[in-house]
Amino acid sequence: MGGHKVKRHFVIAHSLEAKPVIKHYGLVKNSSHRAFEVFENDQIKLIISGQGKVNCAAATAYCYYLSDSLDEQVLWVNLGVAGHPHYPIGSLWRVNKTIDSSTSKAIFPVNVIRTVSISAAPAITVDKAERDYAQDSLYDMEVSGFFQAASRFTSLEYASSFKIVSDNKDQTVDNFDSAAVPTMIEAQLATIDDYLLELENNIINNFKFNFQDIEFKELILNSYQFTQSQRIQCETLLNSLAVHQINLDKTALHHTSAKQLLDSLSDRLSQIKLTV
Amino acid sequence: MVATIYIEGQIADHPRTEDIIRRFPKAERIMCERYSQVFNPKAQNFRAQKQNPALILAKKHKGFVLPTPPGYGVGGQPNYYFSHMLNCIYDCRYCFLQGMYSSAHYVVFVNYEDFASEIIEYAEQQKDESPWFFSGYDCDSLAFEPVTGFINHMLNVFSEIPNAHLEIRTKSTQIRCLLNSKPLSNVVVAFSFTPDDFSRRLEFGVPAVDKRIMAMQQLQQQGWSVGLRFDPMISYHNYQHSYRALFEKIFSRLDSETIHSVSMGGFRMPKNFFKKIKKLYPEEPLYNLAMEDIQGMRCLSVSAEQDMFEFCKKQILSWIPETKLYYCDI
Ligand code: SF4
Repeated sequence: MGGHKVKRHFVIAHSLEAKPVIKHYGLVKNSSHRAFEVFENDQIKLIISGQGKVNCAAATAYCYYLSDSLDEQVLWVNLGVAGHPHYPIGSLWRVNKTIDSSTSKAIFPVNVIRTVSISAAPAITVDKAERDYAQDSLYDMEVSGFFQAASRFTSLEYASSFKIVSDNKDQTVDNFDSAAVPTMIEAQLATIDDYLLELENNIINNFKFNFQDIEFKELILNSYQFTQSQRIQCETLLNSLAVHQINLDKTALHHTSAKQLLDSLSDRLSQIKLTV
Repeated sequence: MVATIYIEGQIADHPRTEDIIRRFPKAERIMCERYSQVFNPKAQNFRAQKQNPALILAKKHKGFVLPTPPGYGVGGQPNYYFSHMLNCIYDCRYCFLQGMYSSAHYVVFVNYEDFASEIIEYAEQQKDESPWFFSGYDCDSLAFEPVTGFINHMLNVFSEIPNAHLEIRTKSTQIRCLLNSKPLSNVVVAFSFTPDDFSRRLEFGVPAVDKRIMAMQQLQQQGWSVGLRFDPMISYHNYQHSYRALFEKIFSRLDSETIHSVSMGGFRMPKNFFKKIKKLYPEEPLYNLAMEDIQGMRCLSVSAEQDMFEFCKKQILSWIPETKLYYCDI
């Protein structure tokens, strides 16, 4: 699993919202996809889901299966415009709670970032554009679907949704000029990027796997005929020995059987005491 | 220190909720229906959250007092535990809470009166016995006391039920509420220790050993009964030197006469918790030692630990009588 760069997967409803992100990161369309439009570079995938929570959940799942390796570390990002009774047009908000208006199910994304501050607000996901703004909340049409799907693939610390206010009670959705969307989003991308960089550092600090001389480990694993459980046991023992910085030499390749190798590795491990 | 507070709607107007919220004026506030919506989802990473845990204020509805697992206790019967808080502001790498919960957020149940009623009820039902109630099972009893005031509340409760005993288990030096109260003969303030070098390496955020000893001295001077908990004891290179120094430091500074009890326990953890924590901290040497499975628990190999146990027992018994020494088994 080690050595992967943290990747970012953007799930965005409309191409107008996606446009500034595609430009900012220099993403290129991958025309091999038919179900959804996908733009990408080495580190980033951006999928355009279309409107609504079901489309958003489907696009999130689709994007998951585009990963090079299902073990890679990914930040999931939903980005788009939303309404709010009184937040200023163009203001940026991090979603800290989503409620699906049709099921009332709530999901609570987790913020672990202290250094980059983006104001947070709850969001209600509705099926039709909101005109009453009945609650003191953001209103959108996708975010609950995004978190429902993303939380199957990642933990809630590594999925984020950012909303930029496009309409409020003074300037309702009916007066909304969609041509302004790219500029609104572009104006907030630097802040969002700082936040995501912090999250990437957090992921890197929290997933330290690469202790092992992978090639030698593979060589050992390929040198014996293991049952499935023996193979798991062997990997666990090799990892544990590596954590204690025990370097194995070539004798590990010359046991007469898998069982003898496992006995020998277990024996090595049982002699190790903790050092503080 | 707390940047986010989740608040259950049903206790949003509780005076204690308001009081706690006032202490964190800059914290982001998020309403929820039940704390479990935030705390229980599986898609959470305890390690990531531990860097910035939120506070969840909630109401507990049932199970205020529960029987302790067998082998937990300091000579009395029956033994119960209760937790007004889930999770801890400290970060001990061996702590089982990391494996028990999906979330590292701190849950505080603000309906202290319901805990108190159940404790009083149990104490009254067992008038002819001396039930023990252990605080600090799912959290540290005192570490968050300046915010919660829970132990302060419980001291008043236990002053009214002399047949019941309270153990306040802690690694904290937040003892002001005790110093401001009249000592109670049915309350033991039990401090957990591992040697300095071990603590610095594996108990993040925990007050230094010297500071804890000073807190114990202050409590003893004021007439409080104190306990010592050497748990978990984990053998490591040079443990003899470190444990000898620890015992010397503690017992030479405390008045052995008013030490209520000393207990020792080995490293043991339910297998599923162990597996989860190892996944969270794959690089942690502790979780990569040789372990044995005993009755569903992962334990350090018995032969390795036995020598250390005997060594420490001998040291401890040179300071206190055997009648005060207890063992926490599996
Ligand atoms: S002080 Fe106790 S409860 Fe807190 S982290 Fe350490 S072991 Fe866990």
